[in-house]
Amino acid sequence: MITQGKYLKSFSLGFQSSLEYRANFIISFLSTLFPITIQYFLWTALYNNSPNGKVYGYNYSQIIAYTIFAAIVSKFVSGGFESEVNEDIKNGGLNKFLIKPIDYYKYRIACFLGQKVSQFFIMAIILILTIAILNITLGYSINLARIFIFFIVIIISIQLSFIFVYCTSMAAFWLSEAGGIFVIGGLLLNIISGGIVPLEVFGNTINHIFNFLPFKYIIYFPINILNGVIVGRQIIYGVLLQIFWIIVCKKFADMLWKQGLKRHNAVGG
Amino acid sequence: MIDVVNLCKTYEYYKKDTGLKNSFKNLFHRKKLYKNAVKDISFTIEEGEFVGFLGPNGAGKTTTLKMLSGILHPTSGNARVMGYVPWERNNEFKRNFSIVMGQKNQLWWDLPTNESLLLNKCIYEIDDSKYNNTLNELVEVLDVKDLLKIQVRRLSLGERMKMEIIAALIHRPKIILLDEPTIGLDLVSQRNIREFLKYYNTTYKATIILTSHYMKDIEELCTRTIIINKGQSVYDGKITEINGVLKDAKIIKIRFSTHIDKDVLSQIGRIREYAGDYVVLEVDKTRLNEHSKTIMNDMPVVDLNIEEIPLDEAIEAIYNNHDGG
Repeated sequence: MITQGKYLKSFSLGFQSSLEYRANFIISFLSTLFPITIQYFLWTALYNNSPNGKVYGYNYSQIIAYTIFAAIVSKFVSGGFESEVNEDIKNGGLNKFLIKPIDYYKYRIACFLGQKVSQFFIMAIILILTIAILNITLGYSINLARIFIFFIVIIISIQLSFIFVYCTSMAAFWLSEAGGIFVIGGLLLNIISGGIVPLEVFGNTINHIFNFLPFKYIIYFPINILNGVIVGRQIIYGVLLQIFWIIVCKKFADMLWKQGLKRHNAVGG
Repeated sequence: MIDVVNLCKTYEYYKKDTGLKNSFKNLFHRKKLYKNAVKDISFTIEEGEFVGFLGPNGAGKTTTLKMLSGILHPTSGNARVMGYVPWERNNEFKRNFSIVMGQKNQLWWDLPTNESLLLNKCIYEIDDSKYNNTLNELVEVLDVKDLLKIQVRRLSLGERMKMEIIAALIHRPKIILLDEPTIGLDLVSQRNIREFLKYYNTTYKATIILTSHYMKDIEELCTRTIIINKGQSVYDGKITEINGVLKDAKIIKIRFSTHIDKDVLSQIGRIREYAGDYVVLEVDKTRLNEHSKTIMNDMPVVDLNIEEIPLDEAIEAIYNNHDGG
């Protein structure tokens, strides 16, 4: 979809702006150290009192790995453009897109993916370092095939994540102050995607519901491929579901956009 | 080129009285109010015309431009621009038109102008040679060659406006809508932009609609002016002929060698200004000859000037006329 010149250019603009803000991205990784430390102590206490060394089906090294990976992947898949969309809708910035032969959705995703290129490499380096350290300290097993599949799946995950954030940002069409929605929406999305603790923590009933929802395919699914919890055919099913959800959610996003524009057309920018 | 028939736009809005109590009241019940920003405007603009929209703040000029550019849907009425209905947002339409809003920027704030221009090049699918030719010509005429690589946020208001205009014209639109392009600019920048617009209009036969509060913009550029007040078109024609529509009066400014009595002068015409030996009179156009002869023959005149009623006044009178009716 970004083969067309204008979206390729948007992609490159996104990439350029992420280079301006690269320090910011690295600092935001460092900020995850605090919650990781707290979780580390919590899980260590839990495993010390566990007779078989397994909690929710994870062994100790897996759960520590999950905690760290979740923090890293959460940062990587996070949106960051919702306030820009909000600005565009509120202050008439959207008009400059409406009068040009360009599709706003495509422009946004091209720009977003462009921003993620540099972040992808930063994430990959941190992730591989973490795996190496975990391997030395906790005997975490390294499997190159799993790492490879993870990096492919995460590229699909990020597109799913994009659509959710995009849909949330459409709230700006209806609310005069959508900032609160973005904060709550982002946090909630992170939790139910498995960005803080593995989803098994929420119990069987809720997990049954999660199985029918797209959220777990953003963070939980790729991390557990890396972790070796999801294997073989489950990976293929998961990827197919990711694609299915991307198609469904895109339709939903289009609908929101259409309704939102109707309102925008009436009120003006 | 542009056909507008009975275009109307009604906005919905709410009122709130001051105070906390009324804020709470508004949470539960808000009285819907309607504002007719544009009511029943019709006009036709031919290719290559340079038309000015004139009117007080809130008259509906920008709303009309927004409808013509497809940003807003009208409440009722029709418009065709180059044969397209603007709010259907056909890509072919978008490729041939452009809008510049003096108060909104289209350029990417954090990037140098040439980066924004390159994006526009891709958006409008302009081929390299055409792009380079257009760009070179525009930067040459506007004299901003050295500023292309500077972040937009670091440019002055006048420089930024020139860049906005370049960005809007890079795809060589046939129709250009300009909403207060000279707002907030100093006199030199205003003149530069005026000269450029004139050049562009005559060189490329582009159809241009311009709104401005500066009479000079309208006087120098527009071959035709549409005056809009309270959402309605109240005048459509040459700005210089506006006096004729309004009233048949001329202004005579006279300086005398001695003091002349007010009563004598008021018999000739309405006194606008009086300072003993200097007077400004407003006289009936049809009797101008007769009056000036009387003055020249019977009074000790040092200097005498006959002038049209100032445009500003005529326009103001049109606004007020309309308010009354």
